[in-house]
Amino acid sequence: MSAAEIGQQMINALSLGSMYALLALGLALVFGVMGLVNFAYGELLTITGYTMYLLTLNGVEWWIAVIVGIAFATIASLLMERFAFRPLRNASFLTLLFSSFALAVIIQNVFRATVSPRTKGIEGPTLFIRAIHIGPLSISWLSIITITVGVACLLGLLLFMRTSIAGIGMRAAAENFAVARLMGVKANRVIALAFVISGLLAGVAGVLWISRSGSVDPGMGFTPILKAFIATVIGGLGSLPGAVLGGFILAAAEVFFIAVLPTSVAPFSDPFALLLVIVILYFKPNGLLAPVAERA
Amino acid sequence: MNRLRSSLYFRNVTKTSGLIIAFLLIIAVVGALSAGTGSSLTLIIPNFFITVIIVIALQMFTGNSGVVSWGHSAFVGIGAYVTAWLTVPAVIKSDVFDSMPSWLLNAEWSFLPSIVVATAAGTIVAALIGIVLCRMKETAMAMSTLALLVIAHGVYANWFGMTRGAQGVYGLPQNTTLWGAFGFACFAVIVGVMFRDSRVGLRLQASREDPLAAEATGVSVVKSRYIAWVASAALAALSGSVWAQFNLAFDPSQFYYTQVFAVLSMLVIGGMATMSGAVIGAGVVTVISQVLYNLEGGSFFGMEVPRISGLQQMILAIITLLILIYRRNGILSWWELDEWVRKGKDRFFPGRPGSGAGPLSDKKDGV
Repeated sequence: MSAAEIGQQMINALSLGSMYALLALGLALVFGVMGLVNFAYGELLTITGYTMYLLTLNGVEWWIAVIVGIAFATIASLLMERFAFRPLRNASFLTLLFSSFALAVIIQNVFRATVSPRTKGIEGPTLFIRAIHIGPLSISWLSIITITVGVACLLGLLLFMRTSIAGIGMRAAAENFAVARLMGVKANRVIALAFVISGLLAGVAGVLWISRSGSVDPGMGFTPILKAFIATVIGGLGSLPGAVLGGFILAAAEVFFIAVLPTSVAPFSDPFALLLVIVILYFKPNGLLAPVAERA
Repeated sequence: MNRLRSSLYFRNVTKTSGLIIAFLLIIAVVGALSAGTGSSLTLIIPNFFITVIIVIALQMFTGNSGVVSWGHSAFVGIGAYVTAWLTVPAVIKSDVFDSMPSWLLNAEWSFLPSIVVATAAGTIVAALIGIVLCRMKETAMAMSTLALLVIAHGVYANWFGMTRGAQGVYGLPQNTTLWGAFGFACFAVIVGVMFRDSRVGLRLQASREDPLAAEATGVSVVKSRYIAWVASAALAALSGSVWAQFNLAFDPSQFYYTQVFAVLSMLVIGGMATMSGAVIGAGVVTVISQVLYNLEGGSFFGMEVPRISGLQQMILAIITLLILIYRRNGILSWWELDEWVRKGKDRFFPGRPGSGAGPLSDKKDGV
């Protein structure tokens, strides 16, 4: 493999990785404050997708559709918290996981029943398909935008978590919810905020995801939630830097196997990447950057 | 195991599984009576029995350990594919499987041997994966079983020479009869109850309630989980083999997350702590699916492990969510059917000596 090819693949991995990192962060945030692995998180991307699909179908500008799509994902995330997960506060990990899974199935089938069970195309701006050429490398605008948006979101979140009172409260709640409450962090508010940010991240990631695939379908949430789940577990559930790291590692593994495997075994690149993940977890059963303290 | 405990153990196992098997027997008799009438019950009832095996397989692991597994459908798939390799007649095999070694091409095995080998195949795979899986924390393990499901699906859908990819496999002989399915369901019930009240089962339940406290009292959580994982995967592979020889054709999508959701919802609705819960959950979901299926106006036709399309799936999900919110431990909660009968007796005929649950079935309320 030549240096140019390696560079090309690294850019692919970076762009895929920033998307996975965004996805994983949204999942990790909610897990941190509530102990919930929100399976319905993938459906937030579906909601963004269908909002954009219906709006662009009716002649709304793409950019406006993007903003409304992200807003809807955020609102949906908040509604999920209020109506499905608040009654289950303090339930076991298993109960929470099952209920989010059931919620995911409900949302999927709402779209299946109301819009269409079939895949629908969404056209993004033509800019996305164009590429710029730097020496032997050709980089699509979509990759550049994905990486830029990803890094911007990560930095913004970092700033928010480090400097704002609400962000510090959320980090405290993730570390020890009971003690954070004793220090004056409002439980309902911090959990709702986590869901809002999580919905926002899902919306942004959803736009990037859909621009990449160019289509929406009712079951489209499954792959992103899977990637996010895997990324957070590699990084160590509950650790935000871990989620980001896990996202990039997963993307690198996928890109690597697609590039390296001969065409006859190419369809098995995903299984290989997942096997690699399981091997990592064999040596680090709690993930790479797991919080040290045992959760009660 | 001392004599007192062992006699209690067998009394408990006999009582619990006896009542469930009696319940299954009634259904089997209904199925036998409906044979030849062209009623859809001749398809639904054997499929219900097979579903019971799958749900019990998952109950053995998830119900006792409290660790979710999305991966059991992968083992159902292994059971089904291995069975297809062994039983499909040689004439059809050369059409279906492109790159099958010749020694396997001529294999035309009968019902029981193919089930034994298919179960063994699932057991071996589970034993290997379990070494890695069972060391993980609960959350990581849940994710890895999901990864396992995706890996298995990737293999079934892409290993064209041996699985015919997404087009699926056909041509299996119909070896599973109503009574065959009934027999295996009873077997699963007995194994499930015996396992739950066994030492490993009790240790697992301790670790489900509090892993740290269980470790502190000397329970090896990893070892107990490993045993449960392998045993339940074996049962899942067995169910896949029985299922394949009843439905005769299948494709990879049937071992993917639609089935996972169906099985999980049965477990949640019935109550995952008990064997009766698993069976009742399977029954409730089968009945609801059928009713909805008829409501949808679709013609009634070879249905697999409850085939769930849009509306059915949505309503099942809503019921599951409501159960989780309002009756978190499922319909039967912590008590087996025989214990419910006893509880009922206690309520209506109070003060009778000797009533009440035995020491092995003291379960706590709520949680």
